[in-house]
Amino acid sequence: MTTVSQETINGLAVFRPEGSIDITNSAELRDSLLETFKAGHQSVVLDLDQVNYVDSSGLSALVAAASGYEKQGAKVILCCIQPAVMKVLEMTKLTQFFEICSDLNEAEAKAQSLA
Amino acid sequence: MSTRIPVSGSEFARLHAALDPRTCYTTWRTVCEERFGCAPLAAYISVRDGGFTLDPQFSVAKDMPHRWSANGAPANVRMLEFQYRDRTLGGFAWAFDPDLDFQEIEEITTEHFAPAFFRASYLAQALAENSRSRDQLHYLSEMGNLLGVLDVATLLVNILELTSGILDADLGSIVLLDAANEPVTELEWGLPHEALVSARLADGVKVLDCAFESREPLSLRNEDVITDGHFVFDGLLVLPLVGPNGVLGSMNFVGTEFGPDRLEVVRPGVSLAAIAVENAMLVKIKLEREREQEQLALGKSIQQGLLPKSPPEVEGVELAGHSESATMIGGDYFDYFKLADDGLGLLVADVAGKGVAAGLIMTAARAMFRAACIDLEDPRAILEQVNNLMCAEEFGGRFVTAVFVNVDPKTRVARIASAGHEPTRIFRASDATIEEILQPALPLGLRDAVEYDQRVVHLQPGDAMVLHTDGVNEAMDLQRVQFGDQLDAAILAGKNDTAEELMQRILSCVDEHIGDAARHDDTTLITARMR
Repeated sequence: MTTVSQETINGLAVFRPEGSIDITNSAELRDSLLETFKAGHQSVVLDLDQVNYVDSSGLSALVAAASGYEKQGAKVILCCIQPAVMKVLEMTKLTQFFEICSDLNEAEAKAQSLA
Repeated sequence: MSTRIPVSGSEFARLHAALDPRTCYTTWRTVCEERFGCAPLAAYISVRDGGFTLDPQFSVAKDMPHRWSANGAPANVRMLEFQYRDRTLGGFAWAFDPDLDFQEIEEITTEHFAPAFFRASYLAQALAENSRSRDQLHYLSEMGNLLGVLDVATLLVNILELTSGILDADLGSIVLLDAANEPVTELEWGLPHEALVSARLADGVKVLDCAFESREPLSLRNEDVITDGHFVFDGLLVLPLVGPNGVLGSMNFVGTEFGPDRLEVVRPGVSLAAIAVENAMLVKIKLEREREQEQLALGKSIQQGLLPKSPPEVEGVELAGHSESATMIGGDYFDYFKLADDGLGLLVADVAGKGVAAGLIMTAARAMFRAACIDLEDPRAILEQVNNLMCAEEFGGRFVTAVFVNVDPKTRVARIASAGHEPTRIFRASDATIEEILQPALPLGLRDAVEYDQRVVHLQPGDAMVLHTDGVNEAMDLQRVQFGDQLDAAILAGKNDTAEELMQRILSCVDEHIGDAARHDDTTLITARMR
């Protein structure tokens, strides 16, 4: 992963990692997600459009973040998931830890319905 | 007007004999007193030191301005400039009783007092410079000796002792920046950390930040420093330690007088101190790294010791297994052993992440699997028990994917269960095809009471099973292209291989694919060939 851009759309935090989520950057992403929650945001959206590879450390980090959100009644919403990443999420059935949306609009609507 | 009396031999001798400026001045005063019956009403002498500065020790009248405009001076005041070889060396201003013979006074002053005074003041300056150079050399040479000290703690004590001695400081400390660039007081001689880090300049900027930013010594008087009130600085001197790779920290002193003279004495030595500290820190880091590497190497050898040395001898099934970690300590492992029902248990597992934490979980998982296999032989039941055991532990969101196979060597029936692991590959010898046993499921350790799917596969002689972690199919080359489908190609190419040959073939294909790229994940696989 080279970068993670982050923006706030209508009060909703949206993370856009690019490249890979792997051993080299997963802990950092997890911490940013959890920090965002602490900063008072409710659910968070992870736009995975530019992510083509997630290794087990990446999955573990996402699950750890999702579990942290879940304890407070909030969700990590994943959207725009590439097929290779979706395959891993399905194989591990980790989809149940997240809200999965096809695109950002759907993700925003989901976040509003959860709020 | 009185007759002018030339300067007597005695006066001449006295005026010219004085070797220090103070004596010179008092002699001039005395001569004037003797001659005119009264001392100068006021005198002001400035010497050149980059510009005219008032030397307060010669000021006898504090209210006498040290610079008048040409026509602004009172009638009884004379100002003289003293020049030597066209260079202005200094100036005088003095005031006498207006009834006195000013010409006579001027003569004594310019002809005799001034040359004697400037000679004496240059002599004094040269002596001071000489003494400063001597101190500077002493400090430099002592600091040079410390370059060989490689123990950081000892070095800091020596540096602080030496420097505070030269500066005549009352209190001192050495602060080093930690990994997060935060100042940490490593050595404190009466200067509390809190007082130092909270000290601010009038504009609110922290004193330490200002010194680190400028990389220059920062000398502050009591009134320049704002503190929280618990600690009062008489005078504070911060000497940043700037090594070849940037600011390391600072030496800090509290005392009454840190003039520019003393600063000049220590300045070159402080640079040397910074180099010594940086060297010692690098050596320390290197030693720590070496120790860490030793620990990791030990961890790796223990971990390798947990892998089976050789496959169990079972008629009808050839086995081979291999695990190689990308880092010193890996999160992958494999195991094979005979089960209570005479079946052959095959297990490949992958702990999310790498490093010591993953290695520790891997060790725990291995023990849980071994314990489960004492009573159980059904792969699904084994996974479910291990999952429940793992969920009872707190592994901080880390999970384990695993595939467990129980193959009956007699009937060649394999039961396969997977917890979110890479699909098992079955090579069918009859038609040279590969079947992928995909069993989506949650990894172990995330949710308890998960029910796992179990698949039953009937194998034939010549058929092969390949169980592997994602380090095999996701092995990347320099262009980040994954090994992927090449795994099936290797299995097909090795259709006549023994289990060991097939494993070696896959490993060498993976190596070839990776090329010069760094291995980013652990590589683990088991190959089984039915005979």
